[in-house]
Amino acid sequence: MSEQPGPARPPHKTDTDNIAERIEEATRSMELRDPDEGLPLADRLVNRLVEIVGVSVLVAIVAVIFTNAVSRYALNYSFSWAEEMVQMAMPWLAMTGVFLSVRRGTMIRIDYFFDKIPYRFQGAVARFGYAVNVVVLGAMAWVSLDFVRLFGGDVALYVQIPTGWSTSALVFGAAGAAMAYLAEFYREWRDRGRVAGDGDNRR
Amino acid sequence: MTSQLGALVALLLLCGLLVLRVPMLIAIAGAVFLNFYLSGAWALTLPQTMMSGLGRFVLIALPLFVLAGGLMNAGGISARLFEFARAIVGALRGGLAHVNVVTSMFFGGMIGSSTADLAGTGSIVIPSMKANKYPADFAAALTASSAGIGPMIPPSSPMILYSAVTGVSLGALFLAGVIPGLLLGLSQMLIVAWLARRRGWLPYSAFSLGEVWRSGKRAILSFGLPVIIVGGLVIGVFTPSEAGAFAVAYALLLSMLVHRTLSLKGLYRVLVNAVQLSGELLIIVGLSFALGAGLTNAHVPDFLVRMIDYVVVVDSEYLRILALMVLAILAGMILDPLIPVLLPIIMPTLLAFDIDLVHFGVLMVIAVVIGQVTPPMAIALIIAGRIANVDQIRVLRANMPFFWGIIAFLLVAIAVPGLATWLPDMMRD
Repeated sequence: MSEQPGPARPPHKTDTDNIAERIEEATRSMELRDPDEGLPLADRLVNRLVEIVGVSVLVAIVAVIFTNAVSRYALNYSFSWAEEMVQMAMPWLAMTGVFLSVRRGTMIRIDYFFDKIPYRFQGAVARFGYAVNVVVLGAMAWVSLDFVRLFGGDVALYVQIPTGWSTSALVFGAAGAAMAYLAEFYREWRDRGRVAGDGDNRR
Repeated sequence: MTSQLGALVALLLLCGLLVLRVPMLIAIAGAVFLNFYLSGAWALTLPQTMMSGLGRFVLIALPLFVLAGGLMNAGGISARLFEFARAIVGALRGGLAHVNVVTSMFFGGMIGSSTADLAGTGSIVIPSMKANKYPADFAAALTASSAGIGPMIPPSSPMILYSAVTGVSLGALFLAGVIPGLLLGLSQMLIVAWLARRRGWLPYSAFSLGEVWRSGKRAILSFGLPVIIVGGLVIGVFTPSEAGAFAVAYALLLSMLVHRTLSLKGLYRVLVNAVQLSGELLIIVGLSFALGAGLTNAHVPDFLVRMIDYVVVVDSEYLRILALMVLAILAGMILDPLIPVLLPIIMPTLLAFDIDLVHFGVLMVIAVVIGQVTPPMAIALIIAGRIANVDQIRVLRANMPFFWGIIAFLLVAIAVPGLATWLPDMMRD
């Protein structure tokens, strides 16, 4: 740490190296880039379909909450079903997000210890990880299905639709994520040269 | 098998799976399943508790704040914030380093997550600091540490998670984070000033009131977002989710109609990012309720209370909080997100010791920030090190002044609860 920073900038000369503009460009491109670029068409279609479901749910949640708040202040009237509807939509928002995270390899995980494992064992550990992922998510889908079968017929108080419409998100989300891991596992097995999970870009 | 042994085996499984790089969500779900199985609990308790966790109304604010932050980011606020920060502090010794810290403080008021600030702003600021002949490891360390200010300043994702788990008012938590967040930024600027004086770093730009005015005018609309959120919550106009919806509307208006920097296609991508970023966190919160319930049945919180009483020999609330913070920091070195995983476990302990939950909430967020710069996880250091193309050990070493700075800050925040509680108390009165 012995280097000295360069001379002071001349007075009033702003941003000669355009840092501000480059920061804007970097943050915007990070936010706006398409994570599926270069993927096969089938993969893109699956992801796009789930994206549309998730985005529709999020837009609906924002619209309902916003409209309800405006109506409460402007018209002194609030929709009794608003809160319940938003709560029922949350599992769909969460599970579509999880599915997309699995597909795009952005699930939160710790790479530190894995990187310490000798390279020749990393493949086996990664395959074990895939097996755990599939089994746990499969079990989650299974018990959620039981849950929907038992309680899914209960009708929500204000929205007046069966709660199964909401809780079934756990079944579809967990089963979908399990299948996504299974597909990834198959791909890794097929391309056994590289260490599994290399495509993931987060911990 | 006793429920205690079941809980122990489940916790060991959780750690083992995390070590083997199994995703956090799946590791928690696996531990919950095992705990239920070993303790003979009904497996359907898992979806039931998950749904009850997901149903917490304050949690709805999380995707909305993430979306509002994404809209602001994509709408191009970063250049405006950076220019304003440069106009204010660029003339100090080590000006670019000060600008880095102040930009993070501004970003904290918009985004609520440190990684967005780090990956976006850091990707340009770190190379620029290198180009201005700051040591690369210092540039990475400073950017990693200053990104940690974000979660302290409202709107803050960790605070939403804390509020969802503990039931503490989100408005009070947001207010409680303001002074510590600003002081944390100030403490980092003091460290930069000390290093700049020792190493003879020069200012980045000259100070000009005209430039402050010009850049301030360009940035001022961006500051409307935290004002809407915190103001709305504090005055009681909005519930947390309504504050989130209005923040989204404001950010949308700003980026699509005022700045005209966001297209419909861009809007779609921001929405997808918000779904993806918040989905996993929401499920982790739901699962952690199930984990917490299982561990509570196994009397793990009672054990924790006894352990703290054993370790802390004198009757001092501060020492008990300190003991809990040591636990949180150790957990935070491995767990991310820390709050939804740890809080359901230690919540009964907090209640047993009658600890102020607003004060503790701010301390927990500091623990989260410490975890981001402490190995083995040290996600902030890893990202910054990669951007700077510097070995992580070097970044870790260069970060030492900031690390000890935040530890000292934590100790002060423990000893002086008023730093966190004064503002919410005042607003309540």
